[in-house]
Amino acid sequence: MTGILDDNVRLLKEIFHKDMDYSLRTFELFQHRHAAIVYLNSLVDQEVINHDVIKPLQHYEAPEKEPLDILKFLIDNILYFNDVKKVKDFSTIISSIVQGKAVVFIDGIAEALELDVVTKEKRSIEEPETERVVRGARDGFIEHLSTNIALLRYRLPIPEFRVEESEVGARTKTKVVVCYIEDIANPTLVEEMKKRIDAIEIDGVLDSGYAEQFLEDNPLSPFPLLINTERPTKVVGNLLEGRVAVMFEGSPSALIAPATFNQFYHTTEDYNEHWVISSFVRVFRILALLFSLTFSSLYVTVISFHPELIPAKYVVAASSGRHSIPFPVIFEVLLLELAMEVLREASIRMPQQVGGALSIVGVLVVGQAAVQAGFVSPITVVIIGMSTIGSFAIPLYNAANTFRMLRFLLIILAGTLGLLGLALGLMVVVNHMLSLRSFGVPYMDPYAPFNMKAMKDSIIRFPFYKLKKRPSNIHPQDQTRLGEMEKHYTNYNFLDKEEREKI
Amino acid sequence: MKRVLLFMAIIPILMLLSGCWDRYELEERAMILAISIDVTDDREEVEKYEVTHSKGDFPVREDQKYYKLTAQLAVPGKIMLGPGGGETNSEDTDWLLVTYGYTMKDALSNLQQELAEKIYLGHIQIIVVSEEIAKNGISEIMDFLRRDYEVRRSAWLMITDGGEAQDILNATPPIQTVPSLYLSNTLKDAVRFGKLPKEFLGKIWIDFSDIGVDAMIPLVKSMGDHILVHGLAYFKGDKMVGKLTPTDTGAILAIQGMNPAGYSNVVETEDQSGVYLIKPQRRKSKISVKLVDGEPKVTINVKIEGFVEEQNHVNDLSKDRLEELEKTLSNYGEKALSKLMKRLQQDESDILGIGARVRAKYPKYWHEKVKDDKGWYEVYKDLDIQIHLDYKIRRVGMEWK
Amino acid sequence: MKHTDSISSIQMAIIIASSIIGVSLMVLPRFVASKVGEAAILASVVGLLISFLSVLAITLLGRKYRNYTIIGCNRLILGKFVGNLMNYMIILLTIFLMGLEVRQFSEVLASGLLPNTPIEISIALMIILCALVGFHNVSTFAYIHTFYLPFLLIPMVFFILAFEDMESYHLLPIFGHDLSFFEFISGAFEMSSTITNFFVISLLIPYIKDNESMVKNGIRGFFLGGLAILYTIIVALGVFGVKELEQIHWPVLSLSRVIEIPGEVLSRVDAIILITWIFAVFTTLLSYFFVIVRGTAEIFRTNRFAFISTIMIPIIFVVALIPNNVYEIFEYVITIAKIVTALFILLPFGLIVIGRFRKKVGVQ
Repeated sequence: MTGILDDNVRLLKEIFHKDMDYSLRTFELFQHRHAAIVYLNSLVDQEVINHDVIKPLQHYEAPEKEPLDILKFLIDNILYFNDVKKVKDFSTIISSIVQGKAVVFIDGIAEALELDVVTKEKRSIEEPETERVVRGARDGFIEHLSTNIALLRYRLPIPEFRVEESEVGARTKTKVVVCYIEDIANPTLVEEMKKRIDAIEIDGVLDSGYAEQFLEDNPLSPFPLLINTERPTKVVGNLLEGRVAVMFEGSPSALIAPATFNQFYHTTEDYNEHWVISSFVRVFRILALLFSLTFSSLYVTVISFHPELIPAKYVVAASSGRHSIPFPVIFEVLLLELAMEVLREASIRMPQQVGGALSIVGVLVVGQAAVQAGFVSPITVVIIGMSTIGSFAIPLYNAANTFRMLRFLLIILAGTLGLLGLALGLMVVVNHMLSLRSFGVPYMDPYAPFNMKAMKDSIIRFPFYKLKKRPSNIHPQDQTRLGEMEKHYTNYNFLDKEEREKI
Repeated sequence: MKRVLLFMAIIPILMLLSGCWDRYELEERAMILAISIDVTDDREEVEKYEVTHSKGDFPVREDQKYYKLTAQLAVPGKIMLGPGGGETNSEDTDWLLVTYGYTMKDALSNLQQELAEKIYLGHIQIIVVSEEIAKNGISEIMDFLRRDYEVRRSAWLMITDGGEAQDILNATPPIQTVPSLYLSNTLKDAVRFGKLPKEFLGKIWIDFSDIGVDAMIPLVKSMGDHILVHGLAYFKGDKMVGKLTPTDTGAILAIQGMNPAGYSNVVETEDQSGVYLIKPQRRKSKISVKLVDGEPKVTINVKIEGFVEEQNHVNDLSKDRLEELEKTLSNYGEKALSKLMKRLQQDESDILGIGARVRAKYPKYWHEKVKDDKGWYEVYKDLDIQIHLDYKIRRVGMEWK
Repeated sequence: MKHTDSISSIQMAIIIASSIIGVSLMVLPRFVASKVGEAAILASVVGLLISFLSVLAITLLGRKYRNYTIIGCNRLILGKFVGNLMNYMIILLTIFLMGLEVRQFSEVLASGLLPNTPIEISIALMIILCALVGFHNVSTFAYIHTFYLPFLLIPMVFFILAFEDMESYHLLPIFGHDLSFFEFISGAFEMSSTITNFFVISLLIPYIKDNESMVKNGIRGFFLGGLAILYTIIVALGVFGVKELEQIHWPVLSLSRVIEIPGEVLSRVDAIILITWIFAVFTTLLSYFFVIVRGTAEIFRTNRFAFISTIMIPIIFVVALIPNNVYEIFEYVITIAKIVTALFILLPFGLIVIGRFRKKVGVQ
């Protein structure tokens, strides 16, 4: 960078002259100095530039004596713009311009001012589609990182809440933010997370999912090893337990680590509702999970290999139901499962208007007509339907996907080896899950290293006054979250006159 | 990691190349729901099959029996799921096939030759054996059934009371279900109501193997399109030696202390004015064996609680009347039970398992004096069995008098 | 080593329990009853006590030499040559034992579940499944046992439904009929040789964090598994009686067929029990395989567990196919199991004694 305005401008023009959004505005500072402001008008807030930058700079009456350090004078007295920096290095200037900052050049000064006037289009805050709750806050993250951080900050107005910045993606230069609560989260965990993020070397990180695959302990495993969520309440809840969250600019999903299997059937709503209901619902979710995994393969096993398991009253009817079906059960099941998967994908991509009609058509086609054509048997349709619905009951989408995939493995195994195949398949899956670690924490905690205390919040959720400690598997620094409280107030007697007359 | 991937590649290849060996679709199996076994003199029928052996090559014994096997297969396609299957008659839902053979497996192999599907024994509900076979020894049939892994231990074994076993399978009740299901339900519910002891196939096998116990097998009689549960057949070893009427069955069940009780008892008052039908409701019994002077002595204490079901010819129930009835019943019951036991002793059938209890409690005595089943029958014949019955009538139903 | 590679002594207890409940559970009632009749229960108790000596021996040895596995102990105390000889013997015996037990497992499947599937397939698949569990991580091994143990104990609950079929005269007299002392003891010893699988813990000693409670928890784990087995034997004996037990090939399988769930929801409970039994077999075989792979690795002082596992697969496969029929399998298993049981009682005690003689102090 030189002190000559025209040289600098020329250099910039060489780089940007083909771009439509390149703007250069020359003006006079102190009524005699030439100056120019350079920016990309697609990224900047033109209002701000006009009002808060150009206006004061043009307006200011030249002082009697020109100050020695003009830039400092400008920053301290004239520019009431808040985010100003001095820059010297030309490459920094260029990268600032492409990041949406405006740069002010003054003739005769070999430094420039960089102003952060970037403005981004953002959508309003809405409830995340994939994580619905009946009772709970309905705000969800959007793509704009600052807004997301704001959503977290106002829920954790404490000085210990840290939001550390970093960058990934050689070309996308995506801003990454690691959030944690300083006196709860284990510092080694935070360090490890930061280390892994810095180790990512890829040209572009377009969404948190890209980075997730680099941050996992074992990327080959189909099981998700980090939680992803679009709900601020979930992030804050996990931060309070001692976990670390990572958010990316441009992505509404935040990543939370470490993750255990428990997370995949817990929702934030579980803590919002009564503990008995929550426990019930969690049990149902686990059953749904098991269903979605094993139901079809159980069906194949029983029909093809071990009909003695069918109650006697039913077996004759069942075999007559199957009599007209041309395929063996396993092909029928696989066919229907494939059809279901195709249907599912289609309904995701389908535009809204056609989507509704298609689902009805899908059900009709697959279900009714196929059965009547003698193509598939009605029982199979029921079984497949139930296992598909079961997979929808799993709160975390990527976990549901995992089980969907594994279901096929089990069906094939069951179809070739019957009960043995099913048992083998289950064992392979379970063994794999038991060997997984998420940031060093055993995946199947608290079932695998059997931790009685942590079981209070796994399948069954104990009432709050029992959940005194934070989960120990992530080794938080501050273990207690509850203080001493009354367990219940059943002795409070409002109806007693004396009680009321105390006050 | 590479190793894991290699395995994961090999396994599906293995599976696809080799095929699924045990996969028999439901409709590819011929489901036999009931079999009946008769003896036949028709040697020609037996000899015409050459499935397990060439003609004349079967090692025939002196007292070789020729079996006629009737199998009842479920006919798929006849019984529909759901509301569609309203009009089927149970006659159409099954298919009876008859084969002959030298042994059980021989007959079944002959049967398989005639069927497209693979014979599946996993859902056999009932096995009917003719009286003749039972009288001559039933253990020959048993071996095959035990060795086959498909046959379930919870099936029912039945003996026909006269007539051919095949007639039982011909019973086709007008209820829309496969006949053998109906028949097996008859027996199962009979157990539930307390009309039969819980002697399903597995238990019978255990009783046959046990030293000092004999089996009792339900007796059935064909009544055209359904069956009559006609009591029990009792065995000595593996041969049938006698029959128990339903009342006797009730008595035996009382001695065993089984609940609920199935059979009502008739009692007449002392002055022969009224006839009452009393239904026992709760029974408790204790069989105690004691060794007195080197000989076992058995005492059976039975306590029964019942209620009045029916009162005939008079209408005057009262506390005294109840006490009178209780006394009469107790006496009468004791006598009847003793008579029953005497009969069993004479026929040398120890269905209560007294021998087993003696053997369990006094092993030394057993080893010195008795030694085995045969020795036990000798002792059993003259065993001193005392029966005490204490009948209490608690309730009288909805009528006070 | 990856990750935290230590296990707690409670996990060790769980490993003992789930290793004990294994293949032999299927045959055990018949096996013991044919030898000693009604004294089966007492003989089993005595058998458990005999095995208990072994548990004690191993844990006491472990407490003294807390950083050595038994391989290391052998080398340390008996000197390189004799020590290595013992080690080779242990590994060899374990290979045989595992091969034969896989074969037993396949035989049950072939007779009772999947008759047409060639046993080579079920043998191969089970061995491969064991091998797929990487042995880098001792903690994963512990987690597997911890996770599966509740499933192994489920059938025990189902057996309650069989209580009503038990007869008291099947269980008495408790001393059996005309049993000589020698027969009794040999029956007990055979019983204890079927539950010999817990010796896997001798290779886990260095990884156990809380070494002080090792003996205590080892005893607890052993009794948990032992109780489960005893319970099964009692129920099987009560329901079937000695004579019937002598006849039935796999009493526990038949037992599960006798059980009826009220309401006839499931026509047969035996499917559930079979699945849990397959899990039990897996945990037991995994323990054996662990011994083989890690033991071999330690003898040759190498870390290449994957390589060793891969080599072992065909070896064990071949061993599994050696016996010709079910009776031969039985003979072989009994003989080898007896040797191993005796070995793991005498060896640890012997090591403790000799160690004291030679004043070899374990690293404290």
